[in-house]
Amino acid sequence: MTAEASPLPQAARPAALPEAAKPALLQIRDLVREFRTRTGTVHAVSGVSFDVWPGETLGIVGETGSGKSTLARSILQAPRPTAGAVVFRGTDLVTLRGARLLQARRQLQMVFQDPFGSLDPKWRVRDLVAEPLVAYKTGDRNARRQRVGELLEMVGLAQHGGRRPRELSGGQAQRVAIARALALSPALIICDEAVSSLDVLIQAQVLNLFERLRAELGLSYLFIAHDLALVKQVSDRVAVMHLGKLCEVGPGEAVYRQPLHPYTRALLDSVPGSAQAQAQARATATIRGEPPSPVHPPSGCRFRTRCPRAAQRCADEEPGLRELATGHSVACHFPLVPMACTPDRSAEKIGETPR
Amino acid sequence: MKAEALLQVQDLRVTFTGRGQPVHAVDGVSYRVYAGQTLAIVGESGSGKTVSCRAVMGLLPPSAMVTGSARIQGTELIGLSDDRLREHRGTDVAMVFQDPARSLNPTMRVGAQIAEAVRSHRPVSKAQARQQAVDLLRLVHMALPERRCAEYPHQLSGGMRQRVMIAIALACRPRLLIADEATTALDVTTQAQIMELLLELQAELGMALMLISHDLGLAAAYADEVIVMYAGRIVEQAPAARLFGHVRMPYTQALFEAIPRLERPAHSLLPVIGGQPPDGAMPTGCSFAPRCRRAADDCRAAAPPLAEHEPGHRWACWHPVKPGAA
Repeated sequence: MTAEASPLPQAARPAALPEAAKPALLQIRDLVREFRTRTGTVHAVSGVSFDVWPGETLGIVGETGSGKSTLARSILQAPRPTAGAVVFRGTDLVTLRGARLLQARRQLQMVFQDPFGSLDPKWRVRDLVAEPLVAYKTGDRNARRQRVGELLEMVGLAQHGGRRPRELSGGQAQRVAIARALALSPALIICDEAVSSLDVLIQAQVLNLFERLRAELGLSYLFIAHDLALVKQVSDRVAVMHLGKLCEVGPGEAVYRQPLHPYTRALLDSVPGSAQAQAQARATATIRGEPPSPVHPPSGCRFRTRCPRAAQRCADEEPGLRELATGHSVACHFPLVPMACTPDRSAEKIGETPR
Repeated sequence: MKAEALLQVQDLRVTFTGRGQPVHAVDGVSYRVYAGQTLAIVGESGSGKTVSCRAVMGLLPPSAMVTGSARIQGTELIGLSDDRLREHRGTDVAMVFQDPARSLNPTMRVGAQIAEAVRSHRPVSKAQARQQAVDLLRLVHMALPERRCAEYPHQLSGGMRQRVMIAIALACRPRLLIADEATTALDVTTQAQIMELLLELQAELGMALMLISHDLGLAAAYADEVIVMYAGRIVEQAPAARLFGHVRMPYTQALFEAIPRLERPAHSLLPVIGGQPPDGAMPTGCSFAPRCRRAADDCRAAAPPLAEHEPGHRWACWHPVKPGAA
C-alpha cells in the first residue's frame, strides 16, 4: 500500500514564520497512546495535535508523567501510537511497515537524555558515528570515513574518534550522540531531555551546538524538556503539556510574557530566580500537589484538581485548544486574559523587565 | 552572625589514592555553617562539592585519605571511628541524596523504613516509632500519611519519595541537614515545593541547611550564603543577596551566564567557556586559568589565595570581574 497523506485539518500556521508557504514538516493529529496495565489503562497521550514547520524549533515542556517522552516515541513509531496520524514530509508513518518505515524515518532522528545509555561502551567513537551510515548502507568505506570525519568536526570532536565512551565526559558523549543523529542528514531531530543531565557550562556548549547546526543545516527540532527556561531559549514556539494533553501552544516569547493557561503560569513561577519567583518571595505561587494519575485522569479539564481557577464547568466539559491571539492557543475555560483578570497578578507583571 | 558555628570545616583535604596518580578531590576547603543558616555549595560535577560533604559525614570509601578538621558543636568528626560517627549521623547531621529511588529499600513499606530510622537512634517502642513515622510524613506535608506508610516506594512519585527521604533524615531532628542535589531529579514545580518545604522545616526546627547543587540559580534563590567550588577549592564565597550583581570570580560569572533564562530571546547563543575542569594533574597557578577569559601570565604562575577582599565576600582571583559586570 502506498502511503498517501490523508487530507488533514489544517492547524493554524504561525504567522511569524517566513516559510509559511511550505507544507509542515511534521503534522501530528489526534495522537493517542495508551498502555494497558493490571491496574487499568494509562492514558499517556490523549489526543495531541500540532505541526512542526521547516526550520522551526518547537519546544514541548511538561512535568514527569505528562507524556512528553511517550509522545516522542510515538512519533518515531517505537512503539506505535494507539491512534492518530504522524505525517512526516507528507507520509503518515502510522501506515508504514518494515523497510518503508525505516526509509521514511531516516530523516527523523532522536537524541536521548542519557548519552552513555545509547552508546555501546565497547565501540570507538568513529564506529559509533559510522553505525547509522552502515545500517542504511550509505556510500562505500571511504565515503563513510570521510563523512564521519565531517560529523566529528561538526560537533567539535575531531580529535576523539579513537576513544571509547568511558573515556568521554558527559558533554562529549552527548556530542557523539548528536553526531550519530546527524549522520543521515535528518530534517528533524527530536531531543528528549537531551541536555538535562549535563552541567550548566557543558549544557550551554551543547545548546549552542544545536543552535549552530540549526542555522548551518536548516534543521528543525522538536525539543522536549521539563525546564521551561531551557525550552524557551531554543524554541520558536512552545507547547505546554500536562497529563497527556497540550494546554497551551504559542510563540515562546508570548507564552512567557502572556501565559494564558494557569498551568503555564505555575511553571513560570516555579523557575528559581525568575522575576516572578522572587516577587512571590517563595510563598504562594507553586501549585499544590502532584499531577493526578494518568490511569484515572480527572473529568473535563485534567488540570482542574490543581488549578486555582477551577469551577464546575471545568469538571463537566473538557476545554479544547482555541486560538486567543495570533498563533497562541490555550485549552482552558478561564484563560488568563489580561483584561478579564484584574485581581490576578499576571496582568501587572507584563512588561516588567525581569533579570 | 556572631554565634558559634554549628559546623566548622578547616583546611579539609580529600585525596583518592588508587592506581595511578593520587587525585586531590578536595584541596584545602574551609567554611562555617551556623544554626538557622542556609549555605549552598555550588560547582560542576567533579568540583569536590559532594566529596567534601561526604567527608564530613564519614561516607567516603577507604581509598579516600581525609585530612583537616570538621567540628560539629566542638566534636571533631574527621578520624572518628564508625561507631562514634554513627552517633552523630542522624542526630547532628543528616543527608538527603539526589536519587530517592536508590536510597529507599524497594521491598520495605515506607512507614517501616521511617520507623527503622527513628528506632536506630532512639529507644522507643515499635508502636511509638510507627506513630512518629506518620507524624514525620505529616511534617513533610505528605497527603494521607497513614495510607502512605503502608505503601512501597514504587507506589510513590519522585517528589513523594524525596519527601520520604526528608522525613527519614528528620527522624532524629538533626541540627544540620545536607541536601545533596536533592531536587535535581525533580520537576520544577516539585522542586519549588521541596525547596519551600526544606526552608519551612528549617525555620520550624531551627536547623542549619546545606544545599549542594550544580545550579547557581537555585542556590542564589534559596540560600543565605553561597560557596562556589572549582577543582576542589573554594573560588568565591558571598551572601546570596550580594552575589547577584557583585560576582568577582570569572568562573562564577561563567556559571551565571550559562543558565538559560526566560528573559533571553530565542536562539541567542549562550556565553560559554570552553574546556573541561582539570582532572588528575592540577595546573600550577590558578586551576581555572586554562578556561578563563581574563587569565594572564601571573594566573598561570601562582594560584591566587582565597581572601576576604570585601566584608563577607571572599574570592580567589588575581584579575576579578568588576562589580556589576556580571
